[in-house]
Amino acid sequence: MTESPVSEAVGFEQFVADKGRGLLRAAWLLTGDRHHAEDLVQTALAKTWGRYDAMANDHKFEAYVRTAMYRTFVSWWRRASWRSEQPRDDLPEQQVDDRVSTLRLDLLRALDTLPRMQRAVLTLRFFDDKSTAEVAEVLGIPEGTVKSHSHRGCAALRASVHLAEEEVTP
Amino acid sequence: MNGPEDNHRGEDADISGNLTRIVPDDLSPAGLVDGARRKQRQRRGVMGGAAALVLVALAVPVTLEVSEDRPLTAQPAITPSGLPEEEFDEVSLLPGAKACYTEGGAPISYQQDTSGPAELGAVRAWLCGDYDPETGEGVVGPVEPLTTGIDALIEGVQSEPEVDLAVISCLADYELTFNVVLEYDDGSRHIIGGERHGCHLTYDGGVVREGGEELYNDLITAWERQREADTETEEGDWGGEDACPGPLPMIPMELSGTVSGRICVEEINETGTTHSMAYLDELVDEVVVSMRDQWESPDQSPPPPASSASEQPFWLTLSNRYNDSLTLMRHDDGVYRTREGEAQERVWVPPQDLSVRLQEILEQGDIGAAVPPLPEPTEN
Repeated sequence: MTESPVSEAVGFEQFVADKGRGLLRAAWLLTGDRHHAEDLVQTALAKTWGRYDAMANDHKFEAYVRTAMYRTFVSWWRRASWRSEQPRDDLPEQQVDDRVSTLRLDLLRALDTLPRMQRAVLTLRFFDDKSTAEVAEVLGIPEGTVKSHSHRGCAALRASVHLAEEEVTP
Repeated sequence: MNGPEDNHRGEDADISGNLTRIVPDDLSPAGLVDGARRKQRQRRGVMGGAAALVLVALAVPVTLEVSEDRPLTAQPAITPSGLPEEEFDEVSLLPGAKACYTEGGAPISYQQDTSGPAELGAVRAWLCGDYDPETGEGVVGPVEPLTTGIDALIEGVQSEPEVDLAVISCLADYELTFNVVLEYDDGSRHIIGGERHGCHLTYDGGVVREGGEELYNDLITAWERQREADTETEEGDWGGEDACPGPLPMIPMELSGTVSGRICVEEINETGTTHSMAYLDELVDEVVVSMRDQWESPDQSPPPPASSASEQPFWLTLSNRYNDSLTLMRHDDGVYRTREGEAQERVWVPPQDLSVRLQEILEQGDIGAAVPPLPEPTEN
């Protein structure tokens, strides 16, 4: 990723315009729907906003926001709104072909069964393509714990009844 | 760059591909800035008078205009200087208000302020206990600032007689030293200290007076009243780490205010200390109901005398929307007891089924610490 130096002309709103979609996509995998994904990213941005000018560049600030987002997700399980999540069948997502739609439904159901830390680790590793060390830094946990969560999370997906008919993992 | 140890794609390429495939393509960042701005305003809570008007006036929605020759400039951080801003640093992981710590994470103290008596006009105040991050001991003040009635508190302090430390003797067992951080519109801060032991003194910019106990009581009352009137704060709004065992709060946490719970274990061995935690999730309601039934029953027996059963490194912590904690420790007899220093001694004997499920949460989770064995059922 090309680092872009922050100048007075590159503002927070431009950062969000450039990087917000990427953050939203990860947040969507963490939460399973766009409403909660937006809520999660907005929360992370609200927490980190004031540090934008102090950060050396957008790349570093993005990492900072991403860290806030993942840590907020892991510790955020208890919000009342999360307990009233819509059933997956009712989610008004964009229209996609049936195969992707089925995969989406099944994989989200399988992800929902994972503890939040495992889900966060899998998302960081296999969606955000972060190394073990990077995942450990984002979540503030030891690398060994990252590997353990990753191993158990993958094993759980392989064994998930929701994915019995899907070729999700080898 | 990923090293060989991180080369997961060869093994789990399907997971990566499928995770990417299911994410909708039409997720848009539009509205994120406005939403973040709203959350920022909510997190800063109620502000008084002119300061609130300033905040609203600055919160003009920004229209995104992507133009190659006229890049957007960010709105200035809509924050009157010094507002408690949750930064993602070590201090944000410490319990209580960030204002109670220096940038390095050390507790603040009235001894650091010799600027003379506090002036009236502070717009917010934070209450700090004697929690020591090094030891994890001590009590933690409320995480949110007080935003009303601050002048009355200052006037109360300054109405008390001054004391000459050279001519009095205030030896006594330690009870509590607390601090109040006052913040003004210009961002400046002033610290008033107080003691609940000895001569019960206050320390105001170098001026020593009587009235430490009175100040403490006034502060607790002020916060309790503010919380009673607070209909906006939701759990998580003030951030902070979900510590387990949670620290002792200055304002005792009421069971009825429980919004979350967690259990944790600690293992100390030759390699060091391992600490693991799990959230109660849906079990928290069941735990609260069981505790309430035992604690509020008209037939409730007085707490049993201190048990000879050994403590287990197994804690259950409940917290409210301000992340105040109520922590109980499990003993070898299966009984949970509050720790010394909790506002009120409490004993909880969970139903066996619930006790088993609490045990299973940790045993089945991905933890590093050994979980103490589940005690045998006791006769209640």
